[in-house]
Amino acid sequence: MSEPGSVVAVLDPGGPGSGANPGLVSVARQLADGLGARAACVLAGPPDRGAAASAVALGADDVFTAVAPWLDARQPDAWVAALAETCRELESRVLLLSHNTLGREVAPRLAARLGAGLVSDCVSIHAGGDGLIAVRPCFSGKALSTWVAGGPGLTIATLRRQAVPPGASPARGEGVVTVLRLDDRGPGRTRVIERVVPPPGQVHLEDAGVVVSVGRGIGTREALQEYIVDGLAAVLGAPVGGSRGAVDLGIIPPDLQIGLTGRVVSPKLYIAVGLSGSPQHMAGCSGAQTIVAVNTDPQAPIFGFAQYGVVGDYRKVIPSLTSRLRQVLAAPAG
Amino acid sequence: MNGAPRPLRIAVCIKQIPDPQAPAGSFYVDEAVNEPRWSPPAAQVISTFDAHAIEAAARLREEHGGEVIVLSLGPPGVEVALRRALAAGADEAVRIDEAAARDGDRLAVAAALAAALRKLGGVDIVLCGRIAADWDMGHVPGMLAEFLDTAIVLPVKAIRLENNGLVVERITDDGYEVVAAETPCLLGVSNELNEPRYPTMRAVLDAQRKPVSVWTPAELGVEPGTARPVRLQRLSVLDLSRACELVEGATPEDSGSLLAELLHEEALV
Repeated sequence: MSEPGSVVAVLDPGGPGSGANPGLVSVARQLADGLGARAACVLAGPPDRGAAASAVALGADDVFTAVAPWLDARQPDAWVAALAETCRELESRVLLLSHNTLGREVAPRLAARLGAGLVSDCVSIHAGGDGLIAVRPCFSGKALSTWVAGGPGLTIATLRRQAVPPGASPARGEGVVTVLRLDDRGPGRTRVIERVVPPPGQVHLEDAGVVVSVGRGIGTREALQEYIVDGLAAVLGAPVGGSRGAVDLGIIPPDLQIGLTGRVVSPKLYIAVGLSGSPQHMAGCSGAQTIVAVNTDPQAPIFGFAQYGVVGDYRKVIPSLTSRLRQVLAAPAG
Repeated sequence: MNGAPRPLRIAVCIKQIPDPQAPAGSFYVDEAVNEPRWSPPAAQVISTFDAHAIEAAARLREEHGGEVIVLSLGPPGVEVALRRALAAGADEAVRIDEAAARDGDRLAVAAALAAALRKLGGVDIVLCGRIAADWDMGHVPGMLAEFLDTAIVLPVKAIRLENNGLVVERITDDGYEVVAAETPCLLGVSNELNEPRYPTMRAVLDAQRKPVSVWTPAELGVEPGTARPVRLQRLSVLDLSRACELVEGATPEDSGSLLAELLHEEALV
């Protein structure tokens, strides 16, 4: 194996909210250094000098802009074909994708097509042994599993968005920017008729530094609005999610459910109000740096995960928490 | 023009797993073999999202007619899950007789399921759960779609069958999309789609009389997976428990104010 091959990071278009991970290039750089390989980045066309320059700044040796009219974030068939071709051409050893809508559809399909190894939803990945070592949560976040991919052949990994901060590796050099013209294969077997996205300005749960989350204990939609949406969350500029229990009561819509069956968030601060902290829920927020719990039941499991807690009725605790926060946040720093 | 349309055929691929709702404290890892364990033992159940896939199939059949075939790969004990699926609306079941794949070799599982679906003579819609609620990988649906050379949409929260094919709603990272898909198509089902039914006693009894075929990988012409490109090195319990500092003011209102100050001091807000 004299040919070192490439470590390829794929930056799919989609922008904020798409779950695309700009940190992928930094990870590719680190892996390439560890494996003695080149770090390449694949962008989807049309060619964008700015995007190519940022990939180089993040450490890419080579930037490829894949150009094909049918290649957009919502056409998985086309991405599979394009990436299969790219991996063969670059003799890739590692292909990194975001663990987002596109990555979840494309990565397993590509692994089957190329007979590649696959590790999905990784929270960390580094070079080790004679290949890669990747860590991913499993069993509803109750366990961590470490996987080793060694030897020849391609390994595909999808990375959780928060796995690596962008800019963790310095730029290497000029970077070689190439346009990769792909065969025109026409449209795929699926077609997007309509996209439904939340109104602009709404902070995305996965992107938020602070998340307020409610459980069954919040009681009613009116209480949610008064105490949380117009109160605590408004002061913090935080999006609101909740547990399956809150969804079942009709307090929050299903698409704001956080947990194993729902969204996975990793904010700096996670404030859980009237939320018991079931394992299924914790699977969706175990990546939070700090968890704060407000609950009437001192035995609630959430206090086992929280750094700070208040045992008490949220109707009494939240208004004073909110108004005091408003004061301290308004005060000049220093 | 082509005469009467062929009846709709729907396949549902399911996995039997230890109950993910089992108390977190019962979960541990046998570190000598790197395998998950439960004490007391967890009940064996149909994987969370697969139950929604069975329900989706049952509803499609109720609306459009046709038949529903449920498939699973595993030892004889997996028939418990298959009988439950038959009680929940499936018409027939297939068990692929192989010990569940260990480690990362989901390609072998997908290859065996694809071979079984070919032996069934092809289906219009394949439904899977979006991920299995044990290892949480979600590899099999995409691999299966590749081996069957069908379209795939995942994760799906609504399914409509129209004259020209499927119209489904795919959950995206920032909302959802309405997607038209040709059949045959594989759909990875999410829990938002429906609420699985509780089978009636009558349905449970009827399920006992429905056919369950057992096929071996050799019969299906599937070679046992030898390639293990990715290997499990270590499985460890993730200890999320933290010592919680309780903020206790004289009144709940005081506690709220104190908490605000603490969060501010710790630069968390």
